[in-house]
Amino acid sequence: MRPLAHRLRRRLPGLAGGILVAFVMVVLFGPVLMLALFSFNDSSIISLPWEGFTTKWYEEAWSNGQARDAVVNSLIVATIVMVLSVVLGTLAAWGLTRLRFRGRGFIAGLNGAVLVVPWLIIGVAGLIFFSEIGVSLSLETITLMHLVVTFPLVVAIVSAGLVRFQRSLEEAAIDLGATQRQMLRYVVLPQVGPSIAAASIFAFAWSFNNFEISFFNGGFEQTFPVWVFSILRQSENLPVVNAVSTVIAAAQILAVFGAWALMKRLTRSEGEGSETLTGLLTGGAR
Amino acid sequence: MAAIAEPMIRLERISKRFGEAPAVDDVSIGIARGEFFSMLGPSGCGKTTTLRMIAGFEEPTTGRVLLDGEDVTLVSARHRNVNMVFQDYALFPHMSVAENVGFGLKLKRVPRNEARSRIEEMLAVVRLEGLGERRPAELSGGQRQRVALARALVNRPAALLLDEPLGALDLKLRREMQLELKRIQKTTETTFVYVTHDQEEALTMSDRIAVMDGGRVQQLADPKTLYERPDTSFVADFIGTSNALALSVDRREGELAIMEPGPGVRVAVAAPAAVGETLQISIRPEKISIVAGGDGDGGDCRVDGVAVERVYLGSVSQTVVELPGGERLAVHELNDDDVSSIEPGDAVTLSWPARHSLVVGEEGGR
Repeated sequence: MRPLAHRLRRRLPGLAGGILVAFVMVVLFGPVLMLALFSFNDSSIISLPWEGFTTKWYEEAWSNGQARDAVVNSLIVATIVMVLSVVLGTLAAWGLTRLRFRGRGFIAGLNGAVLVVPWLIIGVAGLIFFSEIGVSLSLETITLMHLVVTFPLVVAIVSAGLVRFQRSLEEAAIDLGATQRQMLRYVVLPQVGPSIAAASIFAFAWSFNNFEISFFNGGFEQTFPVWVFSILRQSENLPVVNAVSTVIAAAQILAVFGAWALMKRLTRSEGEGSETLTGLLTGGAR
Repeated sequence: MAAIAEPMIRLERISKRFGEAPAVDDVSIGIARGEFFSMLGPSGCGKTTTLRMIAGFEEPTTGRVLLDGEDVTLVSARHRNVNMVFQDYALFPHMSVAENVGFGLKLKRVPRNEARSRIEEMLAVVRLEGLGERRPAELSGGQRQRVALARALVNRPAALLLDEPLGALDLKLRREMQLELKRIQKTTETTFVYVTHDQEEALTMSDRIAVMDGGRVQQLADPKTLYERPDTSFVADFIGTSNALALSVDRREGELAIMEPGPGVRVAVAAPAAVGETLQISIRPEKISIVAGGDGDGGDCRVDGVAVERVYLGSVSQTVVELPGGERLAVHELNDDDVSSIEPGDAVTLSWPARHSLVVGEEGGR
C-alpha cells in the first residue's frame, strides 16, 4: 500500500508536467502545423478529407505578383523599422540606465506605458494624426507608426541587458589600459550584444507581423498581413495564403535560430545565458 | 618596513568633495616600495575614495598624487602604472581565465609568446595552474579572487590597489586568503595598498595601517603600535574592544596621574596631565586581571565592581563589570586551568599596571 502511494506521489508531478507540456505544445504549434499541412492539400477547401499531395499552391503563390509585392513591402518596412528602432532605442536605453536627470523615472514609465496600449488604438490614432496634418498614407507612414511600438520594446529589452551589466567591468578595462573604444569593443559589446540581437529580432518581427497599425496607416501599397486580410474574403484564395504563410513562418523560425547560432558563436557560449534560445530572446541573461 | 628615500606612492594633502560634503579631507600619506599598506575604517570614512584617487578613477579636489616621484594627479587611470582588484572582482564573464589575465597584455601589445608565458607564470603564482580555459562562472569565489589578482599583477604594476577584495568570501576562506595575499605580495615584491573595514584583516597582513574616519587619517602606524598605543578613542575603539573611562585627575604621584572618582576606584596613568584635567582612558580587556571579592592584588590601578555578564568566547571568557559610577569594563580571561568561576552578580576587583592605562583623548573628546 504505502510504497505504491509513495511511488505515485513521486511520479505524478512528472506525469502531470509531461501532459501539461504536451497540451501547451499542441495549442502553441497545432494551428501553425495545420496550416502548413493544408497548404499541401490538393483542394481549395481547408478541411478534411485529404485530397492528395500537391505543390500547386506554392507555384500559384510564387507567380502571384500581389503576394510578392506585399512580402517585399513588409521586408523593407520591417528592416527600416528594425535598424531605426535598435539604434535609437539602444541610445535611449543607455541614457535611461546610465545618466541621472530629472524626470528619468517618468520617461521610463511613459516608455513602458506605450507597450500596453492596444495596437488598434495606436493605428487609429495614427490615422487621425496623419489626416489632421494632411499627410497622405503610404509605406512611410506605416514605418513611422511601427516605430512608435518597436522603439519602447527595444528600450525595454536593451535596458534590461544594461542593468545587468556590471559597471565595474568598464573601470576594470580602463584600469588595464583600454581606450574607450577598446572597452566598448572588448567588454561592453560582447555583454550587451545578445540584448541588442534579441531587440533586433523582436523589432523586425513586430513590424513584419503587424496588421492593425499597417491597416489603418497604409495607403495604396499593402504590407503582407494587410494583403492576407484583403484576399481572405474570397475563399478560393485560402490555400495560396496558406502556402505563403507557411513559407513566411518557416523563414522567421529559421531566422531566429540562425541569429541564435550566430550569437552563440560570437559570444562563444558562456555559461548559462545564450545557451538557450530563451536566453537569447531575454537578452542573454547571465 | 623602512621607507626608502622616495616613497612609491605619495599623497600630498589630497581632499575630495562630492558636492558640499568632504569625502577625503586633507590626507597626506607616503607608501614605501614593497610595503603592504592598509587603509582601515568604517564605511564612508574616505578609504575607498582615497584608493580610487590613487587608481585615477577620481580626481582630487585639491592636493597631489605622486607615483614613484612623478606627479600623476591629472593622468588618467589608463596611463597609471597601478592596477586595481575590485570588490566584485569585475572579471569579464565572456572571457576565459587566461583571456581575463591576458587582457592588459593584449592591450599593451605584448608579443603572444611572452604574454602566454607571463599568464602561465602568474596563474602559477596564484595557484590556478590548469584552469586557464575555464570561465569565471565555473570558478568558486576564492578562485575568482585569485583570477582578479593575477589579472592585475601580470601587468607588473608599481602598486596593486585592493578594494575590500575579501568582502564577499566566508570567514574561513577569508582567513586563508589573508595569508595567501601576504605570500603573493612577498613573492611578487609588489607594493600593496589595501582597503578594508575589517580590523583583523588589516592587523594580520599590513606593514602599516592608516586608520581613517570622517575623511581624515586618525592614526598611521604599524599594527602593534595601533593596538598598544592608540592615539584617539576612535582608534582604540575601532581596533579592539571599547573599554573607555572618562576620569578627572585628582593628584599626581611622580610620573603618574592618579584618578580616584569614588571609594574602591583608583586609576593611575603615566601622563603629564595636570590636576583637574579630564582624561579618556582605555584599557585592553586582556590586560585586566579579575578576582572575586574585595581582595585584589595591589596594582597601580584597582577598581571594585559587580559582574553583570559572562560570555564564553572560545579561547577566552569575557566578563562585563559594572563600576560604582555606572561605567562598564570588559575583561578577558584566558580559558586555561586557572580561569575564574565568576558569575553575574558576584562582587569583583579589577586591577592592571598603570602602563596599560592608555590615554586616548582629553576633555572627553578626541
